[in-house]
Amino acid sequence: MIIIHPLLGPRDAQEFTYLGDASLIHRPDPEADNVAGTFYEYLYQRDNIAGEHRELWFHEQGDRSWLVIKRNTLTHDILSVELASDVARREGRSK
Amino acid sequence: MFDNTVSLAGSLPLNALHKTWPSLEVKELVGGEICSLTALHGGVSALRTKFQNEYGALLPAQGKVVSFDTGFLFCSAPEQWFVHLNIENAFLDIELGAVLETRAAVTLQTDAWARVAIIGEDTPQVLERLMALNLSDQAFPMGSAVRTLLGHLNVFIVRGDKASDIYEIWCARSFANSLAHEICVAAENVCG
Amino acid sequence: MSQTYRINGGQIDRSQLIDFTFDGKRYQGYAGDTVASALLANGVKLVGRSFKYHRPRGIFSAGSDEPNALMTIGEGARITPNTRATVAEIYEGMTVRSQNRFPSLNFDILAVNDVLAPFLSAGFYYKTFMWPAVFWEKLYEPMIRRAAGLGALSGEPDPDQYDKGFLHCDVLVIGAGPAGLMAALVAGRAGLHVILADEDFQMGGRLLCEHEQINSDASLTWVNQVIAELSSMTNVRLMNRTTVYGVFDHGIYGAVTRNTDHLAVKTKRPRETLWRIYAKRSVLASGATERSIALSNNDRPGVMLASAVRAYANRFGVLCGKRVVVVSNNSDGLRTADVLRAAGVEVPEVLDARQLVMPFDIYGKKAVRAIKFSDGRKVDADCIAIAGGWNPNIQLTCHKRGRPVWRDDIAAFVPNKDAITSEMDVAGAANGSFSTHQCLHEGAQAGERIVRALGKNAATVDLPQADDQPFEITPFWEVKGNTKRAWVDPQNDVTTKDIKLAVQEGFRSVELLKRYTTLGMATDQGKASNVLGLAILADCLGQSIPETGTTISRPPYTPVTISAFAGTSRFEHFRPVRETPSHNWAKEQGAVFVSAGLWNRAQYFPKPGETHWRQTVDREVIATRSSVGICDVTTLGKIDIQGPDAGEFLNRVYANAFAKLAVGKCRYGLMLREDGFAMDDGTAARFSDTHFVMTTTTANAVSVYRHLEFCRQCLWPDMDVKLISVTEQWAQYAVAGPNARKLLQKIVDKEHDVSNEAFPFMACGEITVCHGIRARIFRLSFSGELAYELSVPARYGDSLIKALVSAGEEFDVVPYGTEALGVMRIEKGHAAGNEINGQTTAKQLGMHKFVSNKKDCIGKFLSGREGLNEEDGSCLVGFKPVRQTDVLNAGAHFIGLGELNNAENDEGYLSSIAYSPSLKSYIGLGFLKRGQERIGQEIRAVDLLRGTDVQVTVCSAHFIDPKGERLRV
Repeated sequence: MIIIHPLLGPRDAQEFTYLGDASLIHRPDPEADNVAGTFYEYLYQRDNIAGEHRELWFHEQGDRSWLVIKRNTLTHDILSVELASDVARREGRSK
Repeated sequence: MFDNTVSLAGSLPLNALHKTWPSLEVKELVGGEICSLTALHGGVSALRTKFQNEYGALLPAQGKVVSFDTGFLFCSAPEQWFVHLNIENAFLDIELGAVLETRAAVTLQTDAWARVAIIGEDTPQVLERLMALNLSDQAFPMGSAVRTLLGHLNVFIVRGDKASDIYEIWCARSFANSLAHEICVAAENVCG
Repeated sequence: MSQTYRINGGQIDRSQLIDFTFDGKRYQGYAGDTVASALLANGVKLVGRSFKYHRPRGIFSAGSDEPNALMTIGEGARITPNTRATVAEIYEGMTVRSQNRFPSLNFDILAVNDVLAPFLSAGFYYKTFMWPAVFWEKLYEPMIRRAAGLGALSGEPDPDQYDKGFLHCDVLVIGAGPAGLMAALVAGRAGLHVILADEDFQMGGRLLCEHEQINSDASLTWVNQVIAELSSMTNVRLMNRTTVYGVFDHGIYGAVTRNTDHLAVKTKRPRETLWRIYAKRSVLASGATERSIALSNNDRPGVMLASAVRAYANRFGVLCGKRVVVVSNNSDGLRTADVLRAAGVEVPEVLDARQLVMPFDIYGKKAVRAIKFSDGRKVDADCIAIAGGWNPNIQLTCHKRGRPVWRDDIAAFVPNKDAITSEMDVAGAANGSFSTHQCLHEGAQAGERIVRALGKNAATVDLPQADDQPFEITPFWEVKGNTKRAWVDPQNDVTTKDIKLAVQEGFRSVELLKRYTTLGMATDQGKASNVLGLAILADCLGQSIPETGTTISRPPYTPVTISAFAGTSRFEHFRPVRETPSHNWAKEQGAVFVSAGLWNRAQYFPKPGETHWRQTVDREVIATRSSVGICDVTTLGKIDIQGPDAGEFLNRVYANAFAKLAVGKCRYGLMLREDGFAMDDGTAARFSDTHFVMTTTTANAVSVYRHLEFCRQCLWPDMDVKLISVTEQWAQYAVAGPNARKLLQKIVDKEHDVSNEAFPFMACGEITVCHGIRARIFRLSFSGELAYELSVPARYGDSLIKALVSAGEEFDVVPYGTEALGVMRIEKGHAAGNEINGQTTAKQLGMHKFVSNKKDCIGKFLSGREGLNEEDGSCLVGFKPVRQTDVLNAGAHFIGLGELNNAENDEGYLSSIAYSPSLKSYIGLGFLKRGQERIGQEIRAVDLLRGTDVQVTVCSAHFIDPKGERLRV
């Protein structure tokens, strides 16, 4: 596979390591209500998607950026690649 | 017998490796100091100004390297640069931190890297045996620098923007012998 | 008898006569010959024995689809079995041997299998070798393996080099026949970066094998002109002897180039180069492969594909027979007779399957003698040229799950255009377009399409004039009515009977048929047999071929040597090795090294006279505990953490608190995973308000760094903190033992006070050593002794270890390795990788008080969940054998005295053990249910794998200096 890094252009997938579902960005607030439920959902519940999947990849052998990649798990087509820090900020994460 | 008047001597990762083939030269690069500069939040433009004032060079974009009078620097990651200065000073990070004030996290990196230059006509053929990255003139013109894989090794490859077309490979110091092996085997396979 | 079948013409170099041997007998051929063409030139018909029945076999094809002529080539360690004679180029002194025969090719004892054929039908292994089950491994399998086989390897290490490479291009053209050459020409002239790859040693594809005209010249003239023009273009790379064997995601292609197999003198150059080719677009112009017709005894030596017979005549100047009968079901096959007659061959009969008369049987065992027709006539012949139609070489269109579609007009599968990604165009015969004109036309079109798609202007290329005879075929697969066997897959000995039997037994899907009969599973991967087999299956089922479906192929297109995949990563270079700055020094001291991940670490430093590693390790431990020892700890991960939020960041990634750590101090840190289990431990030292240096374990350095970047970039993107690894920047040595300070004081520059008062336990600082050399010092102890870790820029690492050892002479300093390090940490009761193993919690490790209540951190919430906090949960304690001389084994499980050894009674396990020279006994750390409450009790450490059962006393994990007084002096 080739991943088109948003800053560096096309790179072979062997430069990257895979983590999993991009929902891992949304670590629950430990002060919130039903924190047991939210942590359980966060850590253990994953959709096993046949189709478009948003996932986290780390450019371990490159610039050490975490990326959010939208990938079709059936065709391996990569539909978008963004810096995870941009995605995280956009989705409300800060400090 | 311990001689307490003697200081410590520096050693090179590859003991000044230097090998040649008819159209290829592989040689360890020695000398100078390297620091990483990472802009703290909101500090990129201040760092850019400060660096330009001090060294007369602009901070390059990711994937690029620029030379200036006393060294060169390239962008290694978002808001992170590696600067190489032609001086010998193991306290460079502390001094650079003072010069750049607090606009960047500065870390000494000189000793972390084994640096090997690949020079000569056969360079592209040797590099294509080692690296998946597209190193064609279009994709990786002079003035390019990126972090990528060479075999199983994590490296920086720097193609300077100066007239002499040299590819520098930087690899973590502990891997130096594996790097030398990889490059020399490829050189032998292509040029031997 | 020398080359009696050689005729004029062809593209061999008659000025270069080449000697080679086949089964020990000398033959001659010319440069440009394959083993197959040279053997045929010498009239050799019998070249192999079949897989199962050991039937005599001859050369069948002229390409990489060859099922019969598999040879063992070379000598000594370079022996290469299963090489297709049809693609192997001959060289001076080449040694070629036939395979799967005993005692000789001519007389093969196991040919008895052919007589036993009624008992060896489809699935006979499964039916026959069922009982008793124990016989399978000991008797049946070895027996079958000996009887049914291919060639054997030398059993010696491969003496050749192999290499890998990576290429990038705009367009990869696969196949250099008329379509491929045309596509490459169009793309090359437009300035695109083109790679043209062909598996053959000579480019031109089928044009090398046919006498045709292009632009009123011989087609070869055109081929040579185009190759000359392409060679002159700097943007075009021509790669012959290069097979594109696989198509992968996003325009990545696997290819292998055979560099030296054709050379008499093997140079030091790599034998093969494995290429990963990144192409924006590709053109598949892989041509087509002719197929046979199922006909009784159609596997006899001399029964060949008609196209191969033409190829040998036209390309190699070799006749496959002097009296040839042509059997064809299509217009192309009928051309064979004209070619042969023009070459002076007698062609007594041309059988068009569209006529009423059918071929019925073939006579001759080790060579064809005659053919019998359905009208009863018997015609003498020494070669039968069979043309059953052409199968486009669509394999590479299937690698990304493209399913081919059936075309009735050519009776063949063609690529399904909708299923092929936009990355690949298919042109020419591979696309089912068989005339030379169509090939040139489609090649040009594909080239132009790609040129436009990549934003360039296509220069007009005049389409050359060429043959455009329509291809006409009447599907005809099988001669029926003869009870003798007719071969479908000659290599795996699958006959029409086997297919029919499989259908009768219910194996009706193509996938099941393939696996039950092994049809198409030989080294040719069904190139010679698949479509024919399918057609016969369809016929049995009374279905059409498209209704029956087809299997699809996977990489590789043709076999690729395992060595090519290994490339240069062999033996000690299998993976890279990391060495510490003291490596050369340690080697000089005679250190024994151990692999720790990629690191090569000094394990222990034997002295003359020490005959067992334990003697060395015991000495190193005792010397360190009684005076001073030095250990290279450079391999620990070191991460520079800077920024205004650095303290807060550490607070969140460590279970314990860091934000308020004073400048100039270190602290032990335990890192949890989000699920509450321990991930890693280490220390962090604070050099300023905004600057920490973290250490990680050697093993987890990479994963911890990745985790920290995840936290920084994904969880808290606005925290102002920056990370960079400094593992490699600093050479770091532990100096441990009661005399550690005295030793260091000789090294550390006078202005830096390292006295206990000025530099107490857990202090850290920037200092200088040996007259101004930059250094960092940390008063940390893993051994439990008064200890420091001293780091200098790695350039001084070699020099510093020498200075430390020299300065320590008066204290009888010892260097110690990872073994003594391990012994001392067990004696001290420090958890390491055996304890922080991904399955243990802070509570089990006895570190639950570390988990700060005052702050959130990764893993905090879930570490508090019920299941991880059970009352009878196991926890880390120490163990000593009741009998001092007993040996402990790590991995032993704890079972109560007098209890049965079963899982129900399992109360935990020993995680680490060592012989403690300080206690003069084995000691262990382990996890035991309610361990802390059971100090002083006895239990058994049972290791059923190694058959040991040792009574042990539960004790504190801190065997040495439990109050930690030695650390603080």
